[in-house]
Amino acid sequence: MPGLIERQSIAPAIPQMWRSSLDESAVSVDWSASGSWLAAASASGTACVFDAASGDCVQKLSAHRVGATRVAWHPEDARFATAGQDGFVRLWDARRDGLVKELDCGAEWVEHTAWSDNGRLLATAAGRKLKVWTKDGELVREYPDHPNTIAAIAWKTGTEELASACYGRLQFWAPGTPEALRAFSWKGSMLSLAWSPDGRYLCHGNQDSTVHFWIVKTGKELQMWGYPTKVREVAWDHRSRYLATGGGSSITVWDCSGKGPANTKPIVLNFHRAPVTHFAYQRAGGVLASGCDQGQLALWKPRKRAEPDAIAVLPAAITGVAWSPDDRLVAAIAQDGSVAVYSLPDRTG
Amino acid sequence: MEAVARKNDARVPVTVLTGFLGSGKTTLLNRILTEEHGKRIAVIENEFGEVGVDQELVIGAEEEIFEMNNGCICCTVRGDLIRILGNLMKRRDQFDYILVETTGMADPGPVAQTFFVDDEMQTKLRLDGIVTLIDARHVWQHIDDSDEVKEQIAFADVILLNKIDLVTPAELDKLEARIRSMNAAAKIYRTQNAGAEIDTVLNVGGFNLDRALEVDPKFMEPEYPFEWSGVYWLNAGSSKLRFDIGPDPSMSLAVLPVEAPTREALQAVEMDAVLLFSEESRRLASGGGIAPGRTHYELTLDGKPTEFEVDILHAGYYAFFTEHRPEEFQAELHSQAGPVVAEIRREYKPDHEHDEEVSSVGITISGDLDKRKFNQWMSTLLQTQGTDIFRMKGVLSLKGEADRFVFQGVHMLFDGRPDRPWKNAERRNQLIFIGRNLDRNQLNEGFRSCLV
Repeated sequence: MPGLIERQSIAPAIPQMWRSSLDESAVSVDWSASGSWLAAASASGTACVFDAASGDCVQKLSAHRVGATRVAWHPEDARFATAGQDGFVRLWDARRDGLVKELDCGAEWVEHTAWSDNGRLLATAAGRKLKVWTKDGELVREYPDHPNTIAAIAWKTGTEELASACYGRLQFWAPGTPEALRAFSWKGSMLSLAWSPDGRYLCHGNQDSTVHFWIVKTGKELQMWGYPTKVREVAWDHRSRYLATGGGSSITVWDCSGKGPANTKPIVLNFHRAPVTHFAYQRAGGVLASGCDQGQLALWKPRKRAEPDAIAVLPAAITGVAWSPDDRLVAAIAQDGSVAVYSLPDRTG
Repeated sequence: MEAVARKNDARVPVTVLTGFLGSGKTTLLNRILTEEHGKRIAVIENEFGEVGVDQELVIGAEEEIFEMNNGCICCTVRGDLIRILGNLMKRRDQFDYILVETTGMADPGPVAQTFFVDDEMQTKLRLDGIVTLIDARHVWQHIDDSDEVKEQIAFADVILLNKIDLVTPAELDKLEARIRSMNAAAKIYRTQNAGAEIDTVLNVGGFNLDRALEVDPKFMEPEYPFEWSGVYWLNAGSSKLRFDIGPDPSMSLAVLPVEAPTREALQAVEMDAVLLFSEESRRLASGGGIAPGRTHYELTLDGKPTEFEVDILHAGYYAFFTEHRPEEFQAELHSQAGPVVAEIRREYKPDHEHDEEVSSVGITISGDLDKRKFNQWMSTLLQTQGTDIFRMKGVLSLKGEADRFVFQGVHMLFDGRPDRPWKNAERRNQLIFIGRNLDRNQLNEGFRSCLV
């Protein structure tokens, strides 16, 4: 006799390689360029370097006096930067076990730091101060103060052009020019920035529950409405075709090919029951890894299926996800301090 | 289920301290930190005064006001708080309490709205209350022309009249009356060195719907058309009521017999006096005669000393109700035997004649509301006057609903839900608006029109 059965996604588990834990909430995670190490930083200011294969903590650093906010591995070398709420970015060498350089970022909380793709430059943002440094930590430039706290920074893929967002303003910077190259006004509070890898679009998630696109060349803009909450998470796939956006427990994926996402129907991914906190596309593949406030981790192939391919659970809110350089492993960190590495199930990827 | 969930509210409480520079915010902050030293407390400080905050986790931040793209005032939030609190909430070891010290020039509106508009703030934090410190001596320099002072008073759940050692009790009474007329819902304490009991400033539940109407009923009392009354013993015969030069060209007056020189006896005739004052008045020039009873006199004073005859047939107690306070005119009552002194007297909250830009309007009406009409009225009200309504709260009796409906709001943000059943209690509506340029009559009439 036919009956109604509630359809439940019984996705297979993502195989876990190892799991470790930090002393406080894990706030940021990144892979080394070689894929041999994983670095994670905590809200107490500790940074740990893990052997990617075994999960052994090979270095434990008291990186910051107060909390750490970011860890960012150099795109080629065995060094990484940590940013903290003590006003400093510190450069560390993974091999020599020690501090390379301490960068005074000019304000109490350094909330953002990012390497240019070629590895030549490191940008830091603390309060209203934006600075650019060489990979050895020599100051290249301190830009004029932003009108208010910098909310996000992002290097344009493959270039030395940097975009910064603060309330009301998007600005573009180059290391050789002391003033902004260009500025876009947008009245509102931006929470994140994402360049499409082809450099065509710059996109930001916003406090007012919208996602905004700029066609950078022309300055033309486009706005996506209707999100239930503020949107922090925005991520492009490597082909610059799909843009995944958060804001609530669903992930909304826009197809930006052709004439762009205007007037198109997005793909909506439903699985998480709590607000989605983080997600990332593979570096060179189409798999999206997402985490939510209740610790669920999901892998998706959004173009093919609106249901997760595989799932895993951590004991607390997911606070970061990162793909290994070869896209075969995904690291997830959580608010209880968990650091876990999963391998891609066979049928995924 | 919902009620249970609320009782176990795991959200971290946040108290906002406002007040001008020098009003004692940092002193209070340090007192709280000292007395609550076992707890994990984070402090966000927008103002850097002369006194340092004695605490490890102090985050200094400049105020950043974020308006949203659509320009709606209720979407104006504090970007610095969202950023910092969001960051603090990422920790595994959560805080027991968060204190936010704003600058003296801060508008509490965006601060409060931050906790209701941003979903992340709303799920993880609970705005417990706004505590406003007032420098009892120096506030007079600002209270008339500073929007910030008025807003900080209007938004407050708790007001500390601080530095009371620097003013006289009379000045303090005057200040408290003034503040009370602006914000009838706040709890007011008088302090020296910000020496308030911690219980009076923390866990006050100012935005808690369960406590939506813990408003002292005496502050919900009606407005009176007179400012003063006094009860005199008068012998039969003629007495003289004398006025010196005063600030007003005329004054309304009514005289009613009372049974005794007691508060209760006076109260028994107050409503009669209110009714009398609403009737047409009889003008009376200097030298004219006043008789006790059902006449509403309007004495012509014209900035000159004046004298009126009060003619008494039967000796007894008489209550004089006057539009203005007699002191303003050095008014005196003389019988043939000499000056007569009022045996009891009472001052009334003055009827606001738009002299106070920021005020409270309390409404208490029995009966049931028509839900549809009420929704319509409230939504129109918030659309048109939401900018000027700082806070509101109340308990409503909705027709057909067994439960009380409780609500509170900040500007255009309205937060309400059914509460406990009325059972045998008298079903009535009790609400209060605190805001700028509020039209008492219009609010009363508008609300009354929502009754079934």
